[in-house]
Amino acid sequence: MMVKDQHVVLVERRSIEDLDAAIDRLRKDGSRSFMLLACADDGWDPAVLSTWLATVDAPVFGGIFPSIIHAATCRRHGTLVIGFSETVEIAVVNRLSDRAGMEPQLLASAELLERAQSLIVLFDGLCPNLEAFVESLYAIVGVRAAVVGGGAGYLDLVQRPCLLSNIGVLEDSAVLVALSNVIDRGMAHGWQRLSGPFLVTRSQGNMLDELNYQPAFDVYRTAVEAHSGQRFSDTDFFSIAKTFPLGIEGVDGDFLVRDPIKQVGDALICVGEVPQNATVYLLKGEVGALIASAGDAARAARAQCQHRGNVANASMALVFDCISRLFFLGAAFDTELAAIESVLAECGDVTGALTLGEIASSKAGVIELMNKSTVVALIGTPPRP
Amino acid sequence: MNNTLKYLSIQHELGMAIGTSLRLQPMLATFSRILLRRLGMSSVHFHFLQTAAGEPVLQASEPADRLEHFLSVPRNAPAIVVPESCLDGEATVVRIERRVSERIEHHCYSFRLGDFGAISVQRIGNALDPPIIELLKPLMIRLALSCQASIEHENLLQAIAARRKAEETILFQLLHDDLTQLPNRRQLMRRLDAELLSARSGGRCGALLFLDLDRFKMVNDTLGHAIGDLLLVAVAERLTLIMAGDGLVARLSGDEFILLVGGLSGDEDRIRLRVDALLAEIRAGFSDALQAGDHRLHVTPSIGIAIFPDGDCSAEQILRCADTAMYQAKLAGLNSSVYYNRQLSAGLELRRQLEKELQLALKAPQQFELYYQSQHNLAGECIGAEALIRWHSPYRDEPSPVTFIPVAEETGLMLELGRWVIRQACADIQRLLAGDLPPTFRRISINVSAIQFNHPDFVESLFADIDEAGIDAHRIALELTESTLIRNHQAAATRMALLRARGVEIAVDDFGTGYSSLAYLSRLPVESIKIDQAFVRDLDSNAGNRAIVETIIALGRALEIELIAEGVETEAERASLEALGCHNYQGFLFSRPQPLDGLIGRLRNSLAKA
Repeated sequence: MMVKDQHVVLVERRSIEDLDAAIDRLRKDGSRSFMLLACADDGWDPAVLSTWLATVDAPVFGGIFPSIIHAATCRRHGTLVIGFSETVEIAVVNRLSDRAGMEPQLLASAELLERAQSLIVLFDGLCPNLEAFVESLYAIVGVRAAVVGGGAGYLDLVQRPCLLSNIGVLEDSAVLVALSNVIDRGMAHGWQRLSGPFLVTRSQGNMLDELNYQPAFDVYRTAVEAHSGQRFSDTDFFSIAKTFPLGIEGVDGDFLVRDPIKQVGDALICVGEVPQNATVYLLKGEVGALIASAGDAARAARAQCQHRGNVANASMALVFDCISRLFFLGAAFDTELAAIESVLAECGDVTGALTLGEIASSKAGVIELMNKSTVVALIGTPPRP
Repeated sequence: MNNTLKYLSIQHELGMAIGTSLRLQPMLATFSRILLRRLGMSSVHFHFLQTAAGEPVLQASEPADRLEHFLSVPRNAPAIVVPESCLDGEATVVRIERRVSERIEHHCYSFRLGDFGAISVQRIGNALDPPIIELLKPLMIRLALSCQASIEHENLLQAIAARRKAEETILFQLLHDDLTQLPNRRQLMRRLDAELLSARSGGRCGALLFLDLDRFKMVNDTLGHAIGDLLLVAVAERLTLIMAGDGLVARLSGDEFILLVGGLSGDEDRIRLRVDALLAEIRAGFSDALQAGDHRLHVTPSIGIAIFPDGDCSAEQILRCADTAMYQAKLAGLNSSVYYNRQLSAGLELRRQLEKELQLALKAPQQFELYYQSQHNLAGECIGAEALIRWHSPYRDEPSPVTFIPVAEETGLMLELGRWVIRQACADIQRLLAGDLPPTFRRISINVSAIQFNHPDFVESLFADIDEAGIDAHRIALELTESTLIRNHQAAATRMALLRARGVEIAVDDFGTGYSSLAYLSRLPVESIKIDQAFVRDLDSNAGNRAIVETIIALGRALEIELIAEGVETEAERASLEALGCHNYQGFLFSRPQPLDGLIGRLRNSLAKA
């Protein structure tokens, strides 16, 4: 059973034949490259998928995500096959958690990355070294190419093969897709300052050890319990923490959200690095503010598109929305997607994935690794050769 | 209060990012990444005073030197120009610039880094708050100090690296040949010492092959030393290819190369088989021409081989043994190889000793004396005599001319010795002529070597000696070998014409032992032929010799050249020669060689009898 909508085909069954049929159909409509957004709950066998991917005689890339977005609806099953009218070029970076090994791979692909107008970057969302990857990527790409993307992976937080490419299903890797057309993007999170600031007095990568020279968990617990009325002693850590992320304060007063997902002793484990000596705030979420921020992200993307004189209805809307927003918003999550869709009504498709971490080029140009955020990308029609 | 903490945290985080590495580039890259992330910058650029090679330095070599770009993060960030006055004055902040492009604000801030550099940062969107710029000032002073330490450190590293490279170069030059880059004699001897030690302790053997290129001098003389050098390089490459890393290829000097092979096992026959296989490879390797510049040249090596260990022989002695064997290979002809044995050394030692003694003897020529062996006609009358050198050596018992003449010829002493012979012969002729001589007595024959005859001053020098002695040139006959006449035929003909014009007679000595083509005889002013004693021997009973002598006599008659047979020892031989038509003789049948006084006495007696 397949649902076709312009350049997007939703394959509802876990079926290689259906994937083949979807690709054939999109190919007939002029697609030359294919993006696959699959659902973790479909339980794809990586070996079967790898064998099939190797047989696809066109560039193919994608990931296995906690959920996908199709027609402004969140789905836990099915695979989106999205056709691109250009023949994209793909670079794969393996051993992402090995910084020394990752940088030479990026340098080896520098010529391709520098040539691209924009990049879709999909990565293993459970890799511990993502900040370094994003920094290294920016050191090569700079402000020239707009970057959007998100982290693939499984909600049980166990790292395993989750990225798709012509060479198979990959783990601990990133797939960098170079496009010759422009991507307009907007990103927002909607999380608001609750208390702080706290000085990060000891941290290492994504492990936050101390805030204000006190054990990080103690400081966090005291602040959260005071506001939430809940107790960590009788409630699961993440079920409280998903509502109270941390925000690293930027020089302009904006926040880069860091999601504490685990407590290890006195330390908090976050998605993304929390640098030592940074100032952080405890953030709170409100349903209305988060939904409004998703609409803001879509508006920012559309405004950028229009600012450059492009026509939004000629673009495809791709959304990378953090899975933790679904956990926080619950049933209201569809309202968030509807808010995006209402802004981008003329674009036709609002497709995408719920991700483990999001990345995008900021307004200042720097590529940022975000948590609990929404990235909306409008992918334009490639210029005629 | 909140902003104060923010500023403090920014200052602290950036401060911690300074000096994370002693190396300049990694340190700046780390600092740049923190700066980009913490301050939301789009790019960071560093400019420094630099050497021509692009190495940052702390002081300008020229007053007009400007800051040059060193590093940008991201690396493809659009280039930024630092203010010309960047290093003037003391201010830390040297530029704050704002421009708007397509409704987007771009901000650029430049800070001075000591007296040697600048950092510029760019931001898209909001400008930096003034407190941020203020907090960056002390950070940039710290960064400058860290850069200075890194530059000094790197300069030191470069100096160490340059010194190490210089040491490596010196060490390389100490152990390698400049032209071919092959190991030189010093390295060879070290290696040979080590191989000897290893061979003795491990019960194994090795071989040292001493290669000398045949006729290499001719390449240098005819094509020039530049081509000669290219040929040597080509030979070095060919030998290296042949050895294929299995052993050592070295250049000793000039056109001498060494191949050293160690770790050979088995008995001598097996080792020789291995070396023979290598020799075959070398022959095959040199069967093709070598490229030397625009020339393709065929070159062959003469090879002497010494197998070691050989008793207690030192490395130096083994090299000398191989040299000795190479010398023998040279004597054996082009492209030859000879294994060393002790007899070779004995022969060579004798030659070296003789050479030394000859040199001393030439300084005291009274050690030499000319003996004369008379020549007779059919009637037994004396028609002349051949001057024969004798050496009354104080070191050995009357060495034979057969032993020392070749040594004199090989060492170049023959020129001096030959000159003495001619002078002495002229003086002796003067004494002969002072007394009465039989009317049949015509001349004294003097042997002249090829080296002597081909010397450009030979004729002039001979005439000077004749003039000095005040004798008639007709009283002299020069005996030249066939090979002397054949080699350098044109020059020989010219010289002979000059000699004949003066009256000096030309005789061909040892006739029949050299070249089969005798056509040259008809074109040269030769007056007599001496039939070699080898053909005279047993002429009465040896049909082969008889046939040769018949032919020589027939040739002489046809060309009207006088014939004289040497080494006539028996009446039977003389009778046979007479029967064949040769009527002049020299040999023991008539007289043994004797001192001049003996010849004078003999001639006086013959006159008295007459």
